[in-house]
Amino acid sequence: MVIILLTLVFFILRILPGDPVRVAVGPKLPPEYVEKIRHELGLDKPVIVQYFEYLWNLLHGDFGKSLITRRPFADELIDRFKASIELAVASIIVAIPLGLFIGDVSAKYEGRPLAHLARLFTVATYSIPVFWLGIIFQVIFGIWLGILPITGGPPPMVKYSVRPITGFTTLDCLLNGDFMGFAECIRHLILPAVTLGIVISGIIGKVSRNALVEVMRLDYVTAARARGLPEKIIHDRYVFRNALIPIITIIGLQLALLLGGAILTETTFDYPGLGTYLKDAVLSRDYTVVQAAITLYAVMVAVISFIVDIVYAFLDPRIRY
Amino acid sequence: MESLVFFKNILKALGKTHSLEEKMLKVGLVLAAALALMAVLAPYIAPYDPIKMYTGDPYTPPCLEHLFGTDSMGRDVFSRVIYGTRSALMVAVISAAFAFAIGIPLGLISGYLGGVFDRVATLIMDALYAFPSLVMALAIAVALNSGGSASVSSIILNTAIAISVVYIPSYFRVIRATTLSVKENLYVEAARAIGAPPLRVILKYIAPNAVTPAIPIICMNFADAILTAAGLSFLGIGLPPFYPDWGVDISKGWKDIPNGVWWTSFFPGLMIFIATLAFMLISDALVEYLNPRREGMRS
Repeated sequence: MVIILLTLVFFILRILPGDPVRVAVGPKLPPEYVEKIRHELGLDKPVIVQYFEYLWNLLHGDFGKSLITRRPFADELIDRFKASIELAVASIIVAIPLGLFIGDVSAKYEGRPLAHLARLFTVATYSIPVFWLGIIFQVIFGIWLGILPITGGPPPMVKYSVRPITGFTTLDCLLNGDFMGFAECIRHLILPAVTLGIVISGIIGKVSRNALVEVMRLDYVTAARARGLPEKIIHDRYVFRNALIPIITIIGLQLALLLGGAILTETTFDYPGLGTYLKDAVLSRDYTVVQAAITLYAVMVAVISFIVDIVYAFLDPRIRY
Repeated sequence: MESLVFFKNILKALGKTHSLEEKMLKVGLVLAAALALMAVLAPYIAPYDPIKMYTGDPYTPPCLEHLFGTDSMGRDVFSRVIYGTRSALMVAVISAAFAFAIGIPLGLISGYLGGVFDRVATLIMDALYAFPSLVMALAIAVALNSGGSASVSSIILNTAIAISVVYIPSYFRVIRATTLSVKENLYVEAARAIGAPPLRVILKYIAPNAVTPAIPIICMNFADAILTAAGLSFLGIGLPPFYPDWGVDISKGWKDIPNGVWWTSFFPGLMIFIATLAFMLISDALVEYLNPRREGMRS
C-alpha cells in the first residue's frame, strides 16, 4: 500500500503540466543555467531512473533536496511533523470523549428528541467548514473575550528558550520543569485542538452510534436484560465492549489523517505543522517536499493500522494473528 | 426497477413528516431549492453590484443599508454572498457530473468484467481513496491553474475537475460492489445466454439495477464539492480576489479578524455551512432509505 501510494504520487507529480525548476528560479534565468540546476537535482535523467533513485534514497532515509531552496529539508520536515503530532493528539483527546458521548446518546435514546439532536450534530459537523469554525472561535475567545491566543502552536519565545529533549515543545517544557512555558503551549493548543476535535467527534459519533445500535439488537443483550441485569452493566460490559472494533477503526483512520497535517485548521491558526508545510510546498511546486510529506503520511497510515490491528486482538480474544 | 421503487418511496416520504429522515429530507430539499433560486435570481435579489467598490464606507458593520456590512473596499457583503451561490453551485454540479460520468461506467465495467482490468482499476481507486483528499485536490488545482492569467470560467472548471478526481473512487467502489451482486441474477445470465454483447448487458440489464446506491453519493459529492472548493479558495488557489465567491471572501475577510471585523468572513462561511448542510441532510436521509444500517464515513 505504501509503495503504491508513493508510486502514484511520484508519477502524478511528474505528469502534471508545468516545469518545477522554471517555477522555482523564475522565468528570466538563461536556459543553460536552468539546465545546470536540473542536472544538479538529477531531474535531467529519464523518469524511470529518477523513480528508482528516489525509492533507493528513501530506503536510506534520504528525502532529497528541496527544489526551491536546493538544500536538504529533513530537519524542518521532522520539526513540522512533531508539531502536527502535538495537535493531533490534543484534538483526539477532545474528539474521543465528545464523539463517544454523542454516539452513546443517539444509540441509547433512539427515536427520541435527544438522539435526533445528536444526529443533527453529526450532520452539522460533516457540513461545517473547519476554517469557519476556527474563525468563529478566534473571534469569540480571542477577540471578544480575549482569553485565548488566536494563533496556534508553541510561541517562539518558549520554543527556542526551552532545552530540547524530545523535540515536542509542550513535552519539553514539562520535562524541564518549565510550567509557565507548558501552560503557554497548552493555551495556544486549545483553540485549534477544540476546532478539529469537534469536527472529528461527529464522525466518531456517527460510527459509534451505528455500532452500538447494531450490538444492542443482538440476542445476548436481550438475554442479559431478561435476566434482570442492571442497564449500566449491560451497557458497559455487554454492549460497549463489543461495539468497540469499528469505533477503534475510525479513530485510527482519523488520527492518521490528522497526522498527515490538518491543512485548513493549521492555516486558520497559523500553526507550524505538517499541513501548512505541505500547503506551501504544493503551492510552490516543491515536488521533493510534497513527496516526502506524503511518504511520511503513508508510513503513518501503515503504522497506525498496524497498531489498530494489535488493539483488536486485545479487545476481542477471538482475533488471533 | 429498483431505482423507480426508490424514488417512489422518497416521494411517499415527502408526503408525511413523522420520522427524522423525512424532516431532514424536506429541510434539505427546501434549502437546496432556495440556493438554486438564489443563484439564478442573484441580480434581482442583491441590492448592489457585488464587485462595485465604495457602495458604502469600508468596514461598515451590518446595518439596514448593508445587511451583512461592507468589506475593506466598501463592497456590499450581502450582495457578494448572494452572487457567491453561483460559483459554489457551478463547481458542485460540474464536479458531480464529471465524477459520475467517469466513476460509474468504470465501476460497472470493472465489476462486470472482473479479471485483470478489475484488479488494476480497484488498486488505483483504492490508492486514490486512501490519499488525503484535500492535498490531492490542492495539487491538481495548482497544476491545472498554472497557465498564467486564466479566466474565471476556466478556474471554476479546473477546481471542479480537481474535486471530481477525488470523488471518482467513491462512485467506483459502490457501483462495482452492487454490480458484482446484480450480475449474479438469473436475468443477466439469460441475457448472456441469448448472446447479448457485454455492452448491452451492462447498459440494459445491470446499470438500471446497480446505480441506485449512487444517488446519496451524488448529494454527498455536492456537499463535499462546495466545502472543498471553499477550502481551496480559502487557501488562495483559484478565483481572483474581486470575484464574489464564499471561499475567496473568507480568505480575505479572515485577515480583518484581529481588527474586530467579523462580518466579512462570518457570513460567507455561514453560507458555505448552509449550502453544505442542505446536501448533507438530503444525502443522510437518502442513505437511510436505501439501507437502514449502513455505516457512513467521509473520505
